[in-house]
Amino acid sequence: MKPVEQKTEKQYWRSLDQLSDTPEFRNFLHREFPEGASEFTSEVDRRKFLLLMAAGIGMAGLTACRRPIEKIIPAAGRLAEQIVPGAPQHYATTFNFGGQSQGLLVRSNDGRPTKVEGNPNHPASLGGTSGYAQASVLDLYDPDRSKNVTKSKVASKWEDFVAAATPVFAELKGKQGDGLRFLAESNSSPALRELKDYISKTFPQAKWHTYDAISNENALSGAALAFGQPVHVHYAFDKADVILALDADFLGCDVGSTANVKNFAKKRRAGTDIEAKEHGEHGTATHEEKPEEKKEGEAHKTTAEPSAPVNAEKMNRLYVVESNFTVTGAMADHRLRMQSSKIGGFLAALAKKFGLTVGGLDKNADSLNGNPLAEKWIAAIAKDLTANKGKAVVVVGSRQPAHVHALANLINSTVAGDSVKYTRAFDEKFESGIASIKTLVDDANAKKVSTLVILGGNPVYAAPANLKFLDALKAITTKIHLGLYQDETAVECDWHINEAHYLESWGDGRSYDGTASIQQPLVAPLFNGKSALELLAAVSGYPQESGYDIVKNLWLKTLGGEKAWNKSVHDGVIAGTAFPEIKPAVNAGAIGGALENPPTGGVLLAAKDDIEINFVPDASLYDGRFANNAWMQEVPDPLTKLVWDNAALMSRDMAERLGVKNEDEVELTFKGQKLRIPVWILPGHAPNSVSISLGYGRSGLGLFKRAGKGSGGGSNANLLRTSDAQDFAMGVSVVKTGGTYKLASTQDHWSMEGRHLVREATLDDFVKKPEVIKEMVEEAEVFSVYAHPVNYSEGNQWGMAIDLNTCVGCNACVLACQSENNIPIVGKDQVLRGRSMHWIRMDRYFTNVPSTEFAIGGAKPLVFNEDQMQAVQQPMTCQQCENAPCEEVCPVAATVHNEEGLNTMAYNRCVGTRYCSNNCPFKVRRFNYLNWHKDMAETEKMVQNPDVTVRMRGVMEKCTYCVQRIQTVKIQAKVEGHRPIKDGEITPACAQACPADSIIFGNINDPQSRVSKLKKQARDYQLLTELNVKPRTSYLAKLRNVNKELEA
Amino acid sequence: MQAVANEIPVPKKNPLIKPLLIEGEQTYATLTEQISTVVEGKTPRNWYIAFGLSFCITAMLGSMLGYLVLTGIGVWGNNQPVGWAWDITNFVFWIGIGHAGTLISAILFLFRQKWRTSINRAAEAMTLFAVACAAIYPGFHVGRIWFAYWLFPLPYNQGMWPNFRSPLEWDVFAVSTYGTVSLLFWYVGLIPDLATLRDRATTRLRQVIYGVFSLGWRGSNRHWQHYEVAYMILAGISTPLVLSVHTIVSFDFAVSKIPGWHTTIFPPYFVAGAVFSGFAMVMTLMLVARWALNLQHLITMYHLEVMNKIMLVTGSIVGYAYTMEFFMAWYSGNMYEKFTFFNRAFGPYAWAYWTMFTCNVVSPQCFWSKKLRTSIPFMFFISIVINIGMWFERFVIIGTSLHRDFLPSSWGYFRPTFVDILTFAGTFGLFMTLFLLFIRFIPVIALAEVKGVLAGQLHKAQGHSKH
Repeated sequence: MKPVEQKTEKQYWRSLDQLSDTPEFRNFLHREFPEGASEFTSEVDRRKFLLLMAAGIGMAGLTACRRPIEKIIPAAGRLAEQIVPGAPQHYATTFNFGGQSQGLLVRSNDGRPTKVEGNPNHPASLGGTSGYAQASVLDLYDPDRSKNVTKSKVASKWEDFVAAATPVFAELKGKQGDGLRFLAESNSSPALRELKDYISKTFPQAKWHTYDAISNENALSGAALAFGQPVHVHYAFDKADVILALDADFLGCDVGSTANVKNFAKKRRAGTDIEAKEHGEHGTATHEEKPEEKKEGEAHKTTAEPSAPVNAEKMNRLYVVESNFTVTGAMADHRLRMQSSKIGGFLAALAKKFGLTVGGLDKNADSLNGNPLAEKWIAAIAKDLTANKGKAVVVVGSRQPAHVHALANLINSTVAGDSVKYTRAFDEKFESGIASIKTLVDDANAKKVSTLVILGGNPVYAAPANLKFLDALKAITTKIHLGLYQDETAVECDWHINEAHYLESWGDGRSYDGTASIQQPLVAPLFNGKSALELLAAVSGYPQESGYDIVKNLWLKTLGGEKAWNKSVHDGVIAGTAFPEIKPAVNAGAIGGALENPPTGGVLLAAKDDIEINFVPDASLYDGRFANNAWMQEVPDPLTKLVWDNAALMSRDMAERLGVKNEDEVELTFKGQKLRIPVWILPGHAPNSVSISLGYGRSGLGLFKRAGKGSGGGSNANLLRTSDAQDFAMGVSVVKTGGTYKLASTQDHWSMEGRHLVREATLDDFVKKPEVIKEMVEEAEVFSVYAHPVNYSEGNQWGMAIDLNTCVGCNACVLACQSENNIPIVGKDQVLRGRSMHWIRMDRYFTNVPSTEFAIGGAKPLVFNEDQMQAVQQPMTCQQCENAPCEEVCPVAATVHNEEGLNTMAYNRCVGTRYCSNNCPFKVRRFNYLNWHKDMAETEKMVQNPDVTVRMRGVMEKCTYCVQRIQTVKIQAKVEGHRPIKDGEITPACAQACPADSIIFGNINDPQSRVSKLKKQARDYQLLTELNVKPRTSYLAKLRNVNKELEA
Repeated sequence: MQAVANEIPVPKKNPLIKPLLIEGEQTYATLTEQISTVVEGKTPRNWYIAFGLSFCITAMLGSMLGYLVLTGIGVWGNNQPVGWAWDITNFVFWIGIGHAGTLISAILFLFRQKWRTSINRAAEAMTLFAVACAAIYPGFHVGRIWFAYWLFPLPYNQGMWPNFRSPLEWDVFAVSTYGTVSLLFWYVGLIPDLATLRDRATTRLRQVIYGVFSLGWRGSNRHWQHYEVAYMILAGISTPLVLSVHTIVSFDFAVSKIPGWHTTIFPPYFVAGAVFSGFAMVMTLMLVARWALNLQHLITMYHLEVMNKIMLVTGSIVGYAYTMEFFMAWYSGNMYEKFTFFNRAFGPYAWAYWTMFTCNVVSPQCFWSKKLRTSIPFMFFISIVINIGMWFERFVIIGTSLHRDFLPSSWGYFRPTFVDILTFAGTFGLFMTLFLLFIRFIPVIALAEVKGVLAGQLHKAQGHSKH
């Protein structure tokens, strides 16, 4: 190179080296620092090192990120680019439960589903949710979930399973599917139906079995009996004025109770129909009739708006005849306790009284054995049903046998009018689950089954005891199980596929009326689980593999295009998919035939002194599927208030006769099977009858290890449950063993002690004199001796009204609050110590119970009459007192009032003297006695709501009226130009979940808000007014629409 | 001198003549000798045994408190609805015990009750140690003890005052004032005696230590004049405190809303109860000290009898208060109030109530009998019974009121855990440890004051013999 020669312009140079352009000089120029000063001697230089480090850290972080592979559509309708980081999104999805689906809107915080809400567009939700749906989100993050595919209990991979299954299923295909069986729980999913149909084409000899531990099959077979086809019978409770529920927990554990409660509540508002008021429909005829009848309480005297008088005709009347005491029984205006096995006889006697003439009525009615109380009832109800023809309905519970359902259908066909609706069943080829699983067991024992695919469910635990399902299972060569847990069934199978939770997989479902909706995942499977659709597709060779493709392809055929699909996913309902109503004709002859020959097996017509055993769904665990769900284990049963255990429930008179008391262990013997279980007395339970809820006795669960000592178990009722006694049976023997077992109950006191905490009146008394509610407690003349620092007449002043006449006590609010506010569980041992943490609790009182004997000044001691036993429920949460007793005693001012009337807690400031809790007359404050979050699994942390502080130990906490939701809306209103907050814009978690709309929250300074209007009702009252604490929460009194003929 | 000795039996015969407060042939020198040798002599073996035992129990207290702080209040049995249980029960119990000390030293001083001199030193010491034991509870019962300093009105980053409306806040001031004043009062009373010990000291170390703490006391007339005035002023300051501390402690309950707590009778009732329990505790300790340290002639039957009479009076006041609470519950017409009191007597905690009633109301009535009042084993037994009863009184007030209040849905029951029990036992260890240190290093009887009594006694005796 001769650079000098290339120069064309005048040259300047600073040294001869530069001029000659020696390599040394070039090197010098190139180098910023002298040799050896600026470089590593190793191969990687500084920059490269930093580059690699940055990339390494970045990539390490990336492993935590997962790219969305399928498009999901937020319900709020925002585009992806409008999503604000940190702001939650809601997605519509579908919760399949008990063979039906409920539409949900699920909140997602930065990709984590955290909270379940009801989808107002979905007919099975109407905006509310069941407690089961509320708690289902916790299952997603359950650290005990099955995390991988296992082959004979050894960890394996999905690919390995597919590789192993392919030749097996190819061979089966060659044999037309002979020896191939599927066992699933009933499911309304059209996509699953599609795969079933595909399988029946490719494997014509394969058989599909369905078994549910708790099923609706009696209703369907009853309908098949009555109408010649299995139709779904729906009750339009919003149209029924008289309801007779026979062993039917239609407001409680029944699938579809959310919509039932919603509709039922519409007929219980007793003149306070807030929905009507929302649309400004003031002043019906009755409003003008008695304007002078509004006597306001002292507190509301200034706002002298007429309180809405009661329209008695708007309120329904509920008769309940049942063995166990359920929430439906607690709502009843009249409740008759009766063994389940006599209820068929009761209905037959009623039908007779009603003038129906079908065969076998006398034979069935005889089982009542001349019970005078029942006769009185039958006469009164027959009269009431006749008087309300067209608006009366008889509801029979799914535990009652088919012929009772059939008879009820017959009665309904004459009295119900449009309060009963019929649609076709999901599956017109109806087969009884019991028969189905029996066939499977028989075939397996006969070596006719080579391959069994179990799709969810836990048959080893739940199948009827006499079938010995486990033995049959062992006779099968290849057993494949799909499930969320390594449960009793999974460990017996050759292959276990870890199932994807419904919030991580695509699917669909139909609600009770046939309305279809898409099950949209909110998160990619945490443990790479597979859905039932995907498993079936893989083994059957279905053209599509992923759940998304299967569901979308199927629905695109119906919907036509991408746009309609997107709308369906977005809305959470597929428009126009509800089944059309049908009007099936009743075949009285067939019903008569069935009544002539009621099922044998000791269900009916047994010796009258026999003790009856009842297997009932559990209000928390259902059939055991929620056994590993900590929220569900710790939510108290609505009536017994037991947590973490079940018990043999029996009436007080029966316990006295047996000489047992609470927590005494008894041994139940039924058909040679034995079960040891502690006794819990449930006053008002049917005489001579024991109820045990299903779902307990699963001691191997991981939760019990995590939840601390004493947590766990209960007794497995399935050990006594046989195929001919799935629901109830006579002939169980109860023997006291002499042992005891500690049961944890959050409220073991029955009586209200003559205190007017839940104020209750009969509808007649209330209509005659609406002041009766307010006059129950002498209103003290209360005044403040000092000026309150907060001016409550300005701005938003939050308040709440809770209608006790519609609240059924279903616990949905308790679970919603737990989910929204990161409320920890404490375990059985700590519940026993009185440290449960729920911010909202259900206070349950039995009425017509004598007060404690020394309750002088309370009610006079009553005779303990269990036939008259009633129960009331009262959601109890922080009352947000204006003169809060907790605030004045806190030495560090950690709990103070804000200008919107909220009694706030500054967790950071709390030192934990517990003085506030002592001084709280409602005892709604909860103290973190220990670090409840200490052993929380990493996955469980993901369910926490990021908008709510997780409280440390040593700190007091309590209901905030969901202040985080209030703030969110306030900020939104501020952003939108300081606009006023609309009524109903803020909904606390409890109110949002409530299927009965019993909890109404709003601004009490706005006279047009729903809560203000409710607070002006004659039924409105505050608790403990004599203390002058001025609660912001008030209650609307409970009314019972009493039939005078059954009084006295 | 001989004459004095001869007159000793006379008071027993004639009840109108007061018995002597110092028995036996005593001079200033013998008194000094007797009281000082307790401190100066060789440490007895029994003291080591007692101290070792007490110290171990104190160590247990430390470990229990450590466990509590590291784990959470949940190691105790407290729950919803019983947010306070043994913690505050023990706090009030110990604070109550402290009362006798201040009462004896301050109020009886102002009333010129000379018999107090034999017991006031020990009673005051007991006050201080009881306050120390009591102070553990409000500190450690909070959920986050590391922030307990927020209860004091300190300027720090949060820029927040405590809530002066809270009775718990008043407690902070009441108890800390009481502790401080009691300590000062005790210390001022100690100064002449410490000087005596300094003057008698045989080792350099003792000389220096007692010298430092006796603040240069030379016993001059001027010193004595100032000392007497200072002592009088402190007695004056302490006197309202005797009433105020337990009044304010009772406000923790009286100011609240809970039936069974919300009563105006509490301040006098608590003060009487505190004096009652305090005297019982003084009695227990003095009987032991009197026997162990051979102080029978200084702590005479007369002293013991007077204390028993005070217990009889205060026990009756307490009994009156118990009865009056029931009357008010009935008379008020408040159903919650009525329920609470009937629940106390007949509810799940009836056993605690009747234990309290028997111990506090029935047992002191035995002191109407002179024979029982002067029987040392009997009064020792009763003094312990009264302390058990007074502990139960606090538990009954706190526990039974909380466990069943307004809403029956929240009713509960409290059971103590082993940590509750061992912590409480541990505070006795701390108390005994401090008391043993006290009798070992400080004159257990107020030397200077007893000499004042002796002077009067001698003067009287000489006067009588002249006539």
